[in-house]
Amino acid sequence: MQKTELISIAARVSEGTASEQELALYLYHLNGYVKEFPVWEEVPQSLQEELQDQQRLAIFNAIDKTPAIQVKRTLHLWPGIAAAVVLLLLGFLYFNRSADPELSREKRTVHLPDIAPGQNGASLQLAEGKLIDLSSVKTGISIDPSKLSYNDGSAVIPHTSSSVLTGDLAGKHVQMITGRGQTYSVSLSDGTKVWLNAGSKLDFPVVFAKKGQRIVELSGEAYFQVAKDNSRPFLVRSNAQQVIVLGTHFNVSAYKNEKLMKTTLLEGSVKILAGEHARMLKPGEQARISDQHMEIIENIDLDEVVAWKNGYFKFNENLEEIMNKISRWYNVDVEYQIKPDPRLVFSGRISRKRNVSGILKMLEYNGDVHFKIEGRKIIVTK
Amino acid sequence: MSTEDYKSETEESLLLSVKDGDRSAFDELYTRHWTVVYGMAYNILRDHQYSKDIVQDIFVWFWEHRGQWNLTTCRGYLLTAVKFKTANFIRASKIREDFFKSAAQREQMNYDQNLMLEVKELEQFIHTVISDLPDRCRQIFTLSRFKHCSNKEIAAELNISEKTVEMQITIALKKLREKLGNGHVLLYFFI
Repeated sequence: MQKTELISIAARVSEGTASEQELALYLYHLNGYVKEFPVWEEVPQSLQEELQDQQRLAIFNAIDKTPAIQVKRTLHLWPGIAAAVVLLLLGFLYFNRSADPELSREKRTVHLPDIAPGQNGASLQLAEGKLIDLSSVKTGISIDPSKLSYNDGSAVIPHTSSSVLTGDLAGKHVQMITGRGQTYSVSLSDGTKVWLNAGSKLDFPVVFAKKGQRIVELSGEAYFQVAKDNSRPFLVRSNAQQVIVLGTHFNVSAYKNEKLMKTTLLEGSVKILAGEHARMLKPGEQARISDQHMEIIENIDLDEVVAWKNGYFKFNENLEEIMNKISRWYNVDVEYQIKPDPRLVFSGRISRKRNVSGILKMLEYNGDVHFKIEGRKIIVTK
Repeated sequence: MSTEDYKSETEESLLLSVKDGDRSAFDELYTRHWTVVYGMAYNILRDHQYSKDIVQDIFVWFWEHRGQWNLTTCRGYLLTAVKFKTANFIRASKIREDFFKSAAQREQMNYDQNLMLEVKELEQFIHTVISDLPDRCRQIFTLSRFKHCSNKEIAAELNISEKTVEMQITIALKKLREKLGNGHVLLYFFI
């Protein structure tokens, strides 16, 4: 088939006026061409992933017509601020600007010494003071009084007789600790499952008492799927807050270096105790505690709250809050050469498996902030 | 429902959720199909910029018209959309020269079943795209473009003037031009 003929058929296809035979011809040549040279297969995996993330952002920004909610939430936080600025990170516009991805990739390798993301990993502190490093190839462990195993069933310490958790277990405590750049999960002896975000610590008994409360202590961030047991309420203590649970899914963020402690309920119901405050949460609500003050925010974006657990970052917050997350996951320190405006809210979403440069680039696209990487330090500049 | 749960959802129930406006379900569909959809666009156009334009249009369109489609699987549908969209790039010669070279060397087409199935899908897709048009306009446009009636025949059948028919077709084309997205690419070829 000749070029001119093919062009005129394509024209009729695209205006919706092609005959059946013309459609057949068009598809026949298209399919043949694709089969002859499938060039997509040669595009490196890393570039494929980068493109996929870029487009996800672009598409969600294009269909996202609800920035009003973000403004409202910002106002909740700082009631005095009349017009908080919401910056949608239209990353793709800028990606599109540098049309050639090869080029942008090259640019990055020239400018930024990159930092790899965090990964699975944690250590387990036993009652006797023994510290065990947990495998980064596995994603979690399972606590059973008779056996300490990974969640795929393999033993944490192979070739030992029964377990390291021997002796009189009642009342014995274990701590699971994730460093910066680590994440891990644990199934407790009652069937409750806990995912720990980076830089966190969970203290729990090997077996819970048969009566009374099931008590664990958390610093940092964790997502809980609490096994239902009406006779033994589950209690999460962190700093000055206690969360009382019957059986439910919720996320607690209680980092010592964050001003706010946030507890978000996804399913079921929990009760928050903090100082003199006590409050039941409904699904979709978040309790924010700072000093002696408790505030309840409704209609929380739950996807954003548990993004970390599902392998990505989803932002809808100011630069300092975002940099705190980055610092924990990439195990880097952050130095500010400018004072970021706390009212400026960034929105965006990106995989946690990407190197740090991907996320920094995304933030730079708003035009107001730049980054330098020196060793394991990120410097925020004008 | 947490994002994790969406991963184990069937395609059919995800599509139903999308129709209800569930963006996490849409996100999951994006994750499942993006590589194949983008890969198809790139294999045809071999240009990241063009491929991005097309793929973004398709996913956004898919979301915004979720009330219009009724699907239990969507990969085929999205791929059909890609093949429809690339037509415009070919028309505008925004395609590698070796596409035409390869076509020139290809032997005679045989209508096998798979091809005819694809043709039907593409036809249906084009129908969905034009189903947004106002009723009267769509009726006239369909008669004209798919049933191959002349303006005179249409005028007689609907008992309206030939001038009205012409006008309605012009409106239809204008609407289509807007709907098919990427106005800047499409702008000049309808007239």
